[in-house]
Amino acid sequence: MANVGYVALLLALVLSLYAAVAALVGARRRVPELVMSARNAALAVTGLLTLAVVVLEYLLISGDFRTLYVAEVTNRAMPLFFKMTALWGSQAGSLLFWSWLMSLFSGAVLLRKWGKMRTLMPYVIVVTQFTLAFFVSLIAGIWTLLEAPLATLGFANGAALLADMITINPFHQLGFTPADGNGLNPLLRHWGMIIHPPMLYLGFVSFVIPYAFAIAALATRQTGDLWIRATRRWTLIAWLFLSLGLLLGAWWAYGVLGWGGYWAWDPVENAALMPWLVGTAFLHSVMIQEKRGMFKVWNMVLIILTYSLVIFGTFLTRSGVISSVHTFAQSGIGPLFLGFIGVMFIASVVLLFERLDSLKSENELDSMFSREAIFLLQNLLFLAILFVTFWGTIFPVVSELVARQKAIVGPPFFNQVNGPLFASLVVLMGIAPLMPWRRASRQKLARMLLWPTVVGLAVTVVLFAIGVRNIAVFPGTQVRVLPVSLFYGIAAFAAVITLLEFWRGMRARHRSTGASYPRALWTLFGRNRRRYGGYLIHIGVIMMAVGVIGTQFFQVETQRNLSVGEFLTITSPLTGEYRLTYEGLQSLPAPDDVSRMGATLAVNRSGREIGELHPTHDFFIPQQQPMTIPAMRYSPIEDLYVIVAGWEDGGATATFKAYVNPLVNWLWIGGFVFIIGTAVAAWPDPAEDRRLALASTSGRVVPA
Amino acid sequence: MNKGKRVHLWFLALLAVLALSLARPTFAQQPSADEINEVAKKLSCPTCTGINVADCPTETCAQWRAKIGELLAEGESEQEILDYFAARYGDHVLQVPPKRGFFVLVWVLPVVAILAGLAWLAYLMRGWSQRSAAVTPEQAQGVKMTAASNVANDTDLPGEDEYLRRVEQDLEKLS
Repeated sequence: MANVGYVALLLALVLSLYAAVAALVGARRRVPELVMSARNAALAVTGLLTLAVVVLEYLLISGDFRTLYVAEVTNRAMPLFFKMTALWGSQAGSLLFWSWLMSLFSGAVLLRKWGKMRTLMPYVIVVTQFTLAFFVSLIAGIWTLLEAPLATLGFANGAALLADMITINPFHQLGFTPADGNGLNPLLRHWGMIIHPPMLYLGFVSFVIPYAFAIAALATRQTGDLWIRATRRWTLIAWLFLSLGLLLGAWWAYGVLGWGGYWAWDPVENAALMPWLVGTAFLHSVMIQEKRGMFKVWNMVLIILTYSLVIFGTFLTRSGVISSVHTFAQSGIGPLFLGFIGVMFIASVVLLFERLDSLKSENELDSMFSREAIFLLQNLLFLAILFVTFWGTIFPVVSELVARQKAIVGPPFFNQVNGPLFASLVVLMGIAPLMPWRRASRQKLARMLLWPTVVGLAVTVVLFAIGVRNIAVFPGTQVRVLPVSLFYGIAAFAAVITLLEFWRGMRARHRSTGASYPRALWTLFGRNRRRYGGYLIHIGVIMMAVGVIGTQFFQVETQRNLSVGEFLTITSPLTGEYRLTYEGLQSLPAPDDVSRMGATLAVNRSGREIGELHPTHDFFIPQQQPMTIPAMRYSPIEDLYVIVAGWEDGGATATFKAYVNPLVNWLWIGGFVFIIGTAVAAWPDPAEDRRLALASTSGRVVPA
Repeated sequence: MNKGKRVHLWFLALLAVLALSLARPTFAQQPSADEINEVAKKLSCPTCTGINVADCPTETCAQWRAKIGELLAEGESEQEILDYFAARYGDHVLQVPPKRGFFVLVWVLPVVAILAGLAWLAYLMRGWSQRSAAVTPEQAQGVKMTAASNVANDTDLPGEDEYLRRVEQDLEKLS
């Protein structure tokens, strides 16, 4: 059975390479039959990879431990659901899963857009199938074929690296059948962790589509805004999934990892954040090209960068190599990935340079006081955050290679440097809706900014006056520069402007059509999903900012060792003093391979009993891995978050860590609003589709 | 006691007060877990990745926390304790590299990059605004109109153009 899967992989590899080459030759030599054949080959690749996934699922569910991958990620005790989701439980399976999703997306594009964008399609096939061929070549173990030639040429190290890669093949067979498998990493047995990777991968692979269209636009010199319009929804959907993946990851970390936070700036998180950052810059700056025909080169640069970071991100999330050069050098997969990213990046940039003449701006910037200028500044800030994140992520490797000194760049660096950049972004997010395209009247702008500024300053001053006196330090120093209450002022400023935008739109519709206000709001969304979906996203971001500032600056934590009957106290900056009394530890029912202990704590806030908390400690016996699951009391104001860190004498004494996380739930609520806003903006708009159809038949795309 | 001697004594007393105020805060008893964690947070677990010593459940980190407790009880400052661990186990046990030598680049390069970006942006904008000042009003009217309906669909309510408003009204009548 495993052989069927493996043969499907090999065929998929051959066909995807064929499709890429045939599409290229067919487009350049104008042989429609060849392009058609490439399309069919590409669709066959989708079918073959689907078959490979079905086979691997069959092996996982039936517990075929002779297959190395199945033995690595499942065991007999695991429930069926976890066996199925073990498809993306480790490297080999998730690379196959990635490739399969990629093939589904490219298949969908071929089926949906074939008639409408026939001239772009051959190059879309080239890019998507070449990318697929690379991924499939990794899991099919093709590169091990180079082992013998490399060894004879004297590159013993290189040969050894490639030899190791045989295990990346998800269908690799062991020489014997183990009695049982290792089972899935306990940390991953959480539904947040089950959906998080697919969301992230969907985000990753769907960003390949706009990139493919961008390259096709360059190749065919159709560098107008057609490719942007054609892929706008793909981009938004990619962005939606990536955002959802990031949020779910944060939520999982908060609810499972038990360290009181949700974002640790570790390489794997950064890997997913980086394409999101450039993607966000791209989503905004393409609007300038649509409206004003400007920044065409810049948009190409952004999408090329997004694609490179998507591949880099896939590589990082799958190997986590960045912590040390040594882990990097342990497998051939690292050099191959970097090589592939390098080839694609250089090829894209060369193509971009060759086409510079067709990317001339149709307009120029009229004023610094225009939406174009604000967007440019916003792009700069996003790229600055990207740079900081990238630099902090790769610094350990750079330091080890260049200076031969090991180093770690932890959360304080990222928080201190990116914090002010994010705050500046919120300011721009507030101003941008007030900025018209081309040129703003300064008097008008000043008038519109007056009240939001007043509210923002009032919030800053009032919060400071009632005791929010924390001062944030200047990055990299101990110098205190900014009162934290200013950050809330900024959030209030942006919120007032954005809400006023909704109000103005509602009032205008109410006056012109006589519709009731709620109805006016509804039609507002209906008539301009992009604009008002976008504003809804902005509202979500502001809510999230409120939560982030709360946890960044006002989190309180304490740790104590308690005997039964003793209590610890923790004082919330917002609601009063919590008193947690330890009432005992008992063994709880759990699956066979887990030993679970639960503690009981009575919670008292400012003298009133408000219930009990039950933090648990799970020990996964086969993996010998402990996990501390926090217990929480949620409220919109704050979470009380408790873990049991350890115990002595069967629970006579136990150590607890308690956190108060002020306003943290606004992060999740804001995240929800954010996702809804993205869905609104991405929702199909028949009018927009008609315009697109009109644009593509009005001579800009040659109909076949 | 003459006047000069009294001044001398006052001076000594002042010195004593100063010396006392500068002395390290010493812990009367064992430092609390919170005081230990405050320092432990600034160290990275030496055997795992991406976790600090305060949050790490491993045996090594428990020993490190105990050591931090000892050092605190001896009156060492936070910086001295961090230096102690960095000297013994290497700079990579610190959450953020020390600001010396090559490590300075961690902080400096982002700042340089951001400044370079801002300078480039300023340069671009200056070029643009100078050129656009030379453009005649008629040329400036050349708003891009790929699809009029598209513009109408996205007019800026605040800075609204009279022309765009008319386009929108016309479209409204049509639909």
